Amino acid sequence: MLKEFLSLFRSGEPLQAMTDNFSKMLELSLELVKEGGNAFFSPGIAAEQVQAIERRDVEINKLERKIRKQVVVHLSLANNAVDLPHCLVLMSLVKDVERIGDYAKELAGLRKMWPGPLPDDELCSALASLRAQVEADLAAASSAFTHADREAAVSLIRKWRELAERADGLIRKIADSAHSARTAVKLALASRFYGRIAGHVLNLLSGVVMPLHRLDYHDEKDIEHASGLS
Amino acid sequence: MGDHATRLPLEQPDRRSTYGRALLLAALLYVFLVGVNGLGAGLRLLGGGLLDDIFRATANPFLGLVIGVLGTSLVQSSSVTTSVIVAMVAAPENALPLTNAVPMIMGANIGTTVTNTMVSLAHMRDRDEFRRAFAVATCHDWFNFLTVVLLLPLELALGFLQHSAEWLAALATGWGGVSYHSPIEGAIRAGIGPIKRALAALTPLAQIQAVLLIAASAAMIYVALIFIVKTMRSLVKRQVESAISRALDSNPMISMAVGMVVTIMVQSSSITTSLLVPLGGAGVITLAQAFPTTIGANAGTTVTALIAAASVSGPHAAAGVTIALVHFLFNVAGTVLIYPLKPIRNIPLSLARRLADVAARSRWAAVAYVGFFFYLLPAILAWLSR
Repeated sequence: MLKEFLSLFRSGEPLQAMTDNFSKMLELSLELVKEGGNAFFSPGIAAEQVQAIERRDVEINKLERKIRKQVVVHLSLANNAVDLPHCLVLMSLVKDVERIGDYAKELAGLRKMWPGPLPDDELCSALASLRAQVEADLAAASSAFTHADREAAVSLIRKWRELAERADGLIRKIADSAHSARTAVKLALASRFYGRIAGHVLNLLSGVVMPLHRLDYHDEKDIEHASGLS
Repeated sequence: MGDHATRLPLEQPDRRSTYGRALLLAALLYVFLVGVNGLGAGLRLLGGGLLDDIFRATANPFLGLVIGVLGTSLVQSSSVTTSVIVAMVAAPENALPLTNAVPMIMGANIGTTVTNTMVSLAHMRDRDEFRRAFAVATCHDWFNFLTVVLLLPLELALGFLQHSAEWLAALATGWGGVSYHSPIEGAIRAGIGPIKRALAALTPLAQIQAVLLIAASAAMIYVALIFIVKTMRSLVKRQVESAISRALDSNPMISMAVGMVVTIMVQSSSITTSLLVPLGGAGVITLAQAFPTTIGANAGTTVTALIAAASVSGPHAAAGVTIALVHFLFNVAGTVLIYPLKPIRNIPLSLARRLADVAARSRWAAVAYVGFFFYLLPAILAWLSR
């Protein structure tokens, strides 16, 4: 017991601990996007699968609260202005990662709400293609963020902006389609969720490229401005 | 910090700086101990006449209590006050009577809580944040008020703290015979000698020399402790952060022990309790979670007086050790009386919450509370009791 008590006084690396928790949260969220996509596009999803996705989302939410608490405790106790920018970035980006997890959960939720089959048409294929591209680029986005790879992040920002625009374009086409209200809403919401996932991934990547006060800004001129600052 | 937001700031520990600070700490500790012993030497030099009246006044326990409160509130450190009291009680001649010093020690416990209450005033801009921060700060005040209310009458009636401390002090100091000799007596005498010679060169009048020696010694104690706290804090900053952040989710016993050990490490209960205030304000810890750490800090701060007591020698050295032990036992007794049973434990917590509600509604009430209870009221009572 004494050993455990003394271990409380072992110097920790609070920033690294927060960053490790953030990486874990990001990994969970990105896995959840794939699981949410599987759930939406699967012909028959089991209730247990949806519950497993919801439990995973709860884990992500707990990590968000844990990281926020770690940030507040560290800034209160360490009285260290040097750590302030990194802490503020984490406070902002945990929200984006948590939202990614939420939208992934919502994809599964759509299927739970309307379990019927998806239409076999051009719009659904476009949605499936959007999904495939989002999932394929998730790993690259995560890597660019984790390794603070600025060049990769700039290139990915342009790619993810296109994905977000594709999602918006798809919603317009679905709205103009002859699908029933139920089917149109299901497809439009799924497109919207993928578009929002893209939006939050863009915020994440902006953390690699932008200074703190320009976080979440990722228009072309913002990127050029940031490049000019380096 | 890099050119983008997510770059982790790099911090390289500087080993040379650590050794330098450790050496500085040793030097400051020496200055502190010279100050403690110098105060006793000054009292000896002053002679009995002037001090008799002062010490006779402090025989009034109520006056002793308010002197302890006011003195500590003014210097914002119970370590300074209790170390001065130890020095006065342990003075080779014209020592402050031990019985008179006990209420002063109790008052010092109350006075030290003013610091973290002042820290909480910085949260005034947000009402809810201020309510939480103020409650966390003032649970310390209420615990100490309650401890004095419970233990001072008992002590006056039975003297149980003094007798218990005397028994423990006899165990600790009785090995050397009648007079206890500090193991570093020679080194400390070597420090006081030059100061006495300098004052003797300044003025031939013994009483003036004595007053100047007392003032210089008090200043040495005060300044040395300020820098000891600063140095210790910089040395153990990371360990303190680790311990407190990990203890936040621990059981109360662990939190109490962490509060005690952290306070011993930084040599200041005010530092430890002030660290909890912004955490409380942010809502990261509840009042109930902060309370055991606060109580632990109370016990931890008694170490400074014990260090001071260990350095004194002479016929009243055991009394110096005794009064330091009274400080320790007072805090332990308060913890044992108040914390274990929930209904009693809730008294200081609910008083802190109620006061915080009032303070949140009227922030001037908070400022008035600090000004009145820690400064104005003790000053008025001290003047009336003279």
